[in-house]
Amino acid sequence: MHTKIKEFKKSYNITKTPILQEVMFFHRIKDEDVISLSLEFLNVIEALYSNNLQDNEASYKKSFQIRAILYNLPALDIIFNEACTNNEKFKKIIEILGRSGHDFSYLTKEFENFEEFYKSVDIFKKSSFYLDTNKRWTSKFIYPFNFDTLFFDLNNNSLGIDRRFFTRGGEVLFLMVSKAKNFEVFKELLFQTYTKNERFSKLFYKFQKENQRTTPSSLGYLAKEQSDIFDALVEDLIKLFRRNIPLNDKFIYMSLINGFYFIHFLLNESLEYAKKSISKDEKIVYVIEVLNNKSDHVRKASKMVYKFNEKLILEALKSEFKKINEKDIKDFNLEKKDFLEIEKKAKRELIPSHRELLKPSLASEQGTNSYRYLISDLFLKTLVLINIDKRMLFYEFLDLLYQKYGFIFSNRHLNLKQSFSESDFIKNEQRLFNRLKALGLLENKSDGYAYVVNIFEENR
Amino acid sequence: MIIANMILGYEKGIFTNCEEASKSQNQIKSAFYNNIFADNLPLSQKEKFKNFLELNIGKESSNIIDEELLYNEIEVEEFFFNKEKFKKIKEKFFEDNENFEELNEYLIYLRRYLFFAHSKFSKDLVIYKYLDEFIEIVDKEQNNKRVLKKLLKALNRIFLGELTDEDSKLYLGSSFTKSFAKISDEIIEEVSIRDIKFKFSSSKIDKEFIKVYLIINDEKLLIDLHMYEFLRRVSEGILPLSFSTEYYEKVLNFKSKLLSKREHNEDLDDFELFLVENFKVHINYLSV
Repeated sequence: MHTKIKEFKKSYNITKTPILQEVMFFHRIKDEDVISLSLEFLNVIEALYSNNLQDNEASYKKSFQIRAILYNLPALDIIFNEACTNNEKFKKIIEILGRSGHDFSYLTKEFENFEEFYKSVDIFKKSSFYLDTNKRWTSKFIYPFNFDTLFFDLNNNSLGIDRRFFTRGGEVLFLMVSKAKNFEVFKELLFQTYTKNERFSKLFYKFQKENQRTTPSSLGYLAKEQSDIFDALVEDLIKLFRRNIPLNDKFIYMSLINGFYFIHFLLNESLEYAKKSISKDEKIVYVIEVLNNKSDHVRKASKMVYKFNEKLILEALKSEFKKINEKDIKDFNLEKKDFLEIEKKAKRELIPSHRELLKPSLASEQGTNSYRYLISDLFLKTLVLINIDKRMLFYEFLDLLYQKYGFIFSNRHLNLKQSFSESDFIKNEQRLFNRLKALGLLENKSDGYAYVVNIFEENR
Repeated sequence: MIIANMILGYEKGIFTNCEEASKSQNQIKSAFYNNIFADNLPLSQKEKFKNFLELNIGKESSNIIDEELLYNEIEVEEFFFNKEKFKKIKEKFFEDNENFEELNEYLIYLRRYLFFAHSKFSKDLVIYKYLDEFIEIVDKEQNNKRVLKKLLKALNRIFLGELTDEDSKLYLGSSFTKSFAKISDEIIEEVSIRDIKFKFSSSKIDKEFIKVYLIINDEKLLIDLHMYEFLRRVSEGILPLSFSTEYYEKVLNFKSKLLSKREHNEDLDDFELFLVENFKVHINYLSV
């Protein structure tokens, strides 16, 4: 622990809050969602690709010109509909944009007429994240068609780096991935994938002329040097990027996988520290409901495991906290040995990520007032896509999900220390079967065997 | 098991003795025709009756049949049917617009009765409205342009997420960011109807086992009876979600496959935006 503190303090000068969770797990993730997490991650990859990542320090693209046009120009629609000439319209736009002190006069040369300009803006707006949210204009993003269309979260006044929405989660994710066995293979795949889609680059550079980057700053911190989970994450991502699916579908699948593994890692680390498990197999498990219209034992078990997992993170902090010597307490930025400060910070900055990063895949409040694990269609599709090479028996698929990720759908894997109704789990398994069928991912053969199929690999 | 349930089934389960049965005479809830479709059984046991249930008999209908049932006196020679009661329910419904559920129960029953007792109605009462067309395709094993056009219209509607009548070529649409989005932003490729064909996997044993595929750019979409019904209904303007999320997803997956294939062949260099006006697709190029 002491060497870790020294190592951590070398890069980060955090004095106001306790630093136990950082040295145990990573620095840091706050309330980042899976989209921000993966966008931030790709920004690090872009820095690596363009030689802007050296000695653990990265600098990212600002691209504020295009962002000002897309996200900070509410008058655009009005001007477009005004009855005046192309030149007058361009003049008005350039005047408004110019108030920031930057020159936008290049726009007239890039576009033949105002309609073309407007259409091009529309293409990027249609493929933007957080467009309809009330986030500041420097925290809205274009879909990552390739490295060119990536840029970093900035402060809307200084246009410098700040960590409001990119809270370093993506950097931590990069550290995880870069410590995996097959990182080099994955890196090459990403480089290949994110240098395609050239038409979007061309369109992008009609809007964006400046080439500024943020001042280099050190990447987040990750305590663990190696882990099977990092390896498994990269294996799954490699599978995904090798699949024969449309290029632009990959990002959304990747973000779900990233979000899940981030939490899976956090929980597994917590298990190692706290040594408390709810499963007879002593591993991290997720009891997952396939949407049911009424409450049953599956939902009950799922809620219980959800709460247990969330609490496990706190238990881990507690067990490490107990080991700290009274005289070393200052090293952790603490005045006296009091767990309350640590707990408060974890509840504010660490534990919400369990909910936030699993939201599009597993965590849901649907039909209840507290969270539980409920599988989303998109995540189900993702799991089939990465785990099935051609086809697999339904039961083998269930076994695989349990062994690899600890997912419990069926009574076959109900190894909990507390007992629950088997028949409710049999029904849950049946619902999963029906759901897979409804998504076109399952073929029921007339000989009674049911196969989960990866439709994109059938004919290969 | 089906026959046993037909005879013994009633509202909440099955009769176990005669006394019980005699008490509940003249109730459509214990009628033969409802028991065939396992109305009396819990969901978990219905699975065994799946093949019957898929036909959706009793819930499908046509205007002619329903008008006949509602406005005319019909003769039903059935032990379970109480003519007077049905009349009262109808009257009450027409006057006060009440008890729709009760009436509906009777309608479902009567449609089922008609299905079995009067074969001339049976075609309107099953879910497969386009059964004859499909049989013709399979029998003749040839590419009927009229049928192809109808399927293309349906595919265009699903691929673009717009109500269009275009049926002379296939518009392969996509959203900028997701191939499986329900509404498309641009058109990636146009495929002429001449390049779209049916393929019949010949089975020497029996015509029943023949498989029909729609071939577009070497990718194939299996057209079974259900898929054919689904696409035909879409081409007539209905998206029948009740029986077909599975088939809707299958079509979207097929689209993803086509897009992925197109992507492999060459890089795109411009944008084909589109607009649907008066059911026609207007393309709006933007080159970069």
